[in-house]
Amino acid sequence: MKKRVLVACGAGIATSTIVMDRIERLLKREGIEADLMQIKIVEAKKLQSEADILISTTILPTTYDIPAIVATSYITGIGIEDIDNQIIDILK
Amino acid sequence: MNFYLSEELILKNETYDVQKDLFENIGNYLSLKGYVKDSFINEIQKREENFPTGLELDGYGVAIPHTDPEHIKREFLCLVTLEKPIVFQSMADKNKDVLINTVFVLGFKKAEHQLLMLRTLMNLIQDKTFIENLNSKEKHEIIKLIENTEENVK
Repeated sequence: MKKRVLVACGAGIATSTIVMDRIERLLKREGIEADLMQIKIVEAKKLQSEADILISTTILPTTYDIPAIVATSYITGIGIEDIDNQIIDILK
Repeated sequence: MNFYLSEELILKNETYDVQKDLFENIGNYLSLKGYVKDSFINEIQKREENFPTGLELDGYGVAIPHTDPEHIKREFLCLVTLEKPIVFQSMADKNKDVLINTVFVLGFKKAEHQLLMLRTLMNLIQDKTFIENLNSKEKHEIIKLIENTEENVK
């Protein structure tokens, strides 16, 4: 089944855009079919019921029912593979 | 051509004790130069409090504060280098302090401009030599370097 991925940052426009790009390529490489949705982190709570994973570049202000990953590694370049693997594990 | 970066947007060797002073001063400057609305100063501080942007890299710290497009008048990238590091909170963890010596203030309205600039910045901030040598570089050299990087990531 097609997965649904929430990609969040504070404003839903800046760092999440870079992470969207990165995750799109990662999922394509891994052959995982998914819809990506770029959101503000404050919207995550109400959108989580329709999603499989939340990937955020910012701190998580609350806890979620779905797996939630903070992916600042995609910005600093430190620990990228680790984050890649966590995401793949959850979506495969 | 990187139309949102110019010499007036590169502020080198600035001195601030705390983050708040930096935002007020830079915000006022950007407002005076016509890049942001007056609301920008409050908004960028509030955003940074709720969603901090400090990034800890390999032995140095960079922050990329930004806020919503409605507070921006004219798109810009503003680079501030600090004489002494100041404390920001980590983008990944609000409770973690990161010492920051380089700040890129982003002011974008269009998503595609923002994406290109962020891609460029990701490359630049991961380049330790670039960040560590910012203070000794001429402004026009810095602009050239950023432009070249942007061409490469396009």
